[in-house]
Amino acid sequence: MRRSQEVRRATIADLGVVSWTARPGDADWRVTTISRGIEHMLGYSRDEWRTEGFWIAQIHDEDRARVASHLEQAWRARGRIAEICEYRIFDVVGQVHWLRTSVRRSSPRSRTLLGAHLDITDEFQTLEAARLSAERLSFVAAAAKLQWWDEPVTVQERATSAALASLAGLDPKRRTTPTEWLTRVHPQDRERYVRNIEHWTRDDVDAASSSRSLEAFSYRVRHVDGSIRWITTTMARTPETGGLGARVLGAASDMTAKVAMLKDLRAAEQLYQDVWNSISAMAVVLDRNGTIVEVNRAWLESARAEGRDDGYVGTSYLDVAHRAATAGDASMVAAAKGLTSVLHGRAPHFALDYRSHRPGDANDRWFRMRIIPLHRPARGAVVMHDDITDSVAAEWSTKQHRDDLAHMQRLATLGELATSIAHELNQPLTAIMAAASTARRLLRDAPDDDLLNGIVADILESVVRAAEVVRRARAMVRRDDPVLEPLAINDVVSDVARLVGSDLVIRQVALTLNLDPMVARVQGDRVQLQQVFLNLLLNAIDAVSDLPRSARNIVVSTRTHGMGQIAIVVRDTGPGIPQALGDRVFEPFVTTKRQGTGLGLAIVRAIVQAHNGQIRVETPEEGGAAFRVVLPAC
Amino acid sequence: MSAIPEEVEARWQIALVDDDATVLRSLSRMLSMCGYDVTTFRSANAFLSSLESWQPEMLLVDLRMPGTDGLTLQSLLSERGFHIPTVFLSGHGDVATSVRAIRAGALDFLEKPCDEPALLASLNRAVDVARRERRRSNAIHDLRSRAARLTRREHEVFRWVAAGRLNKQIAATLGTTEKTIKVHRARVMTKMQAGSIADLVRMFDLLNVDSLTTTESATETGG
Repeated sequence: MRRSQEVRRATIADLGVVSWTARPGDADWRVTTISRGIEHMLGYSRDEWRTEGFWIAQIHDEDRARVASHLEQAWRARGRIAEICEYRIFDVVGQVHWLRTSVRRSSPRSRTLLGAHLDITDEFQTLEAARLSAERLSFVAAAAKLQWWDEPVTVQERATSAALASLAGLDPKRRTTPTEWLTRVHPQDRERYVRNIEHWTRDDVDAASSSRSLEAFSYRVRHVDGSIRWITTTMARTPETGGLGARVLGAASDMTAKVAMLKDLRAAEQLYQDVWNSISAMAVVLDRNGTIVEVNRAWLESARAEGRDDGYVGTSYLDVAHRAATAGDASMVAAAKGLTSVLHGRAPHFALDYRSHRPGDANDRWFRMRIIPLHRPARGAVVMHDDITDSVAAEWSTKQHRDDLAHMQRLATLGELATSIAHELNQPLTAIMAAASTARRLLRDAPDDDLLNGIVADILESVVRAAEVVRRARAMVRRDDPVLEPLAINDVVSDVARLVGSDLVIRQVALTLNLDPMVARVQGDRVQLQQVFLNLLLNAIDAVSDLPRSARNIVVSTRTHGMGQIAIVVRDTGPGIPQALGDRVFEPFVTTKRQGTGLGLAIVRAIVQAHNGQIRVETPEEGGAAFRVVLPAC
Repeated sequence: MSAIPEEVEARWQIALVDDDATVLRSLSRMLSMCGYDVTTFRSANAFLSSLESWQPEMLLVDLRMPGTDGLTLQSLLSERGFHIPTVFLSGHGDVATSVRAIRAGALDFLEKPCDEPALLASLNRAVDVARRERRRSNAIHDLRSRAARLTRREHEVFRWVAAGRLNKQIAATLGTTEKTIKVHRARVMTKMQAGSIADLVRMFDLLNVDSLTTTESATETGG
């Protein structure tokens, strides 16, 4: 008994020991003794402790009933067993402490329960932190779609982690052996895979250094569905501590989608670069402030010629335009204005043709500047400069050629008009002159009739004057005699076809040239023959213009015609020449057109005849009209 | 006026071709006044078909006519062996056409309306050609009637003399004496009214050119 008394005292003093007394059936345990350690920890006064049920009252609400039942059981166990429970209790300032309490009735008949308490608050907080950390880890892994594992090195050697297996669509419960797994790895990646795994599982690996260096590697795996998946794995090896043995940590994710996206991105980037550089125009991309951010090859080459290897990237295009505008370049005033409008979204696009002189070039060159806005969020614009010198020159020369021919046509029309009027007038003038001459001769028998002699003399004088007027008018607009030279008639036809090119496009007429490359040359005047075929082609275009679009066809064919002759036929699908008219269409003032002068075909015939040729109009069986020009070959 | 044909000559037969009736009528009146024997035609074809029954001594033709035009008429005439001196009238005298007409044998190319002196001057050139032709055909006609009075033997002697043979050679060829040939030759000279041998040779050539058949039959007889 003495000994037990001593033990009790010592325990109460040094350990956290509390003894309670209780009446049977009463849950209000009263503290009878309390060690200094517990008293100090919780901070309540001795009087407070002695209050019935005080201990129980300080226990956390959630734990109280459990603690009470433990005490009850310890009481009923009569000292045979100790009840152990862990619970929270509030100290005097309201702080929670975790206690692990072992309760036992000191003897079967004792009225006292003895409790030994251990403050396990720190231990609990550590556990909680560990639990939280694990929770965070799995959350992060799930969020990042990471499969991760933490296994002893030996397991890694024997089998692939379940996490990794699931990435290949394998059953994670059935561990895959390394050999089996290797057959799923893409043949080209196997060696690399093996090297990496060995690095982390080898016995001689320096655990201390490897645990710190995380290294990722990617390889391809054949999924059970047959597709190829890219897997990126990051591994680390934990140091061998606490006798747990070395462990391998790993995290793997399926990067297939990202790899595919990356590939697409690279392809798109390459395509963009190729297309961008293949643009023959000099092109730049401007940001929303008008600063050059990107240039294509054509631009760069041009800039290099000016000694600017940087292609002016970073320069403000707007500033350059403004400077040029201030320096008096009128076209740049418009360009700067247009660029500002497009950059500010006020204009949908802008285009400007301008002339520029580059050092070393003999002539000025023409450029077409186009500004196209970019619809990306950062806005900006693309500016292109096309060298259109050749097409401008071609356009100009075509226009010039047509103007020349139109001028010739006007002259020819005037000439034909004068010729026709002259012919019509000369017949009656001839009759008048002959009649008056006869009259004068008759009057020789009456020389004294002054009145009649005067009348006849006046008639003769007037008719001579009238004849002179007609002759002068004709001489003024006389068509020059053809300047004959050997001509390739196919070239003449092709030239004229080019001249009417825009008419064909605008009036949506299909022209087919059916030219026999073997036809001989003709002796002809190039300009006059061009005039012939221009007239015939323009007539044909007029003839088909009222038809449905698909029926507007013209065919020009050349071929050898009999002995030493060449036939050129212009055929259209129009309404044709009225049967009653026939070859009279070639006579002056005969026309089937509301707006026609009726002189075009008269000119055509006059030119053809001046070339010792013939022209005929035919009505093909399939309809329309065909004008056949036959010229002697040379 | 030189344009008026000589009184002693018969009126010159001229054909006038023009599609314009008024022109035709007034020109016809004028030329008739000037002493021509004028026949008018409204088209080239009408003129061509009339040639079966007559032949004018000269032709005044309009260049531009519907159907067969002046130049075509000219080439058709030459194809058929008619050599009629021709003057063209044209409403529009372009150089190329007139050159073609002149090359094809036209005497002149006049622009309408032409005054009387110009027309008559051109026609005078045609008259000169016609007169030469008329004299030549008169001479041939005359020679032919003289030659018709020659006997068969005289004809043969005429041919050999014209060919330049001596009397002796002719006598040998014809199987007679030189004296006989001499008599024949004197008769030929008288009948043909030839002043000299040279005259006789020229007459023979004229007859020969114009009446091939006569000469041919003579050659055959001689051969």
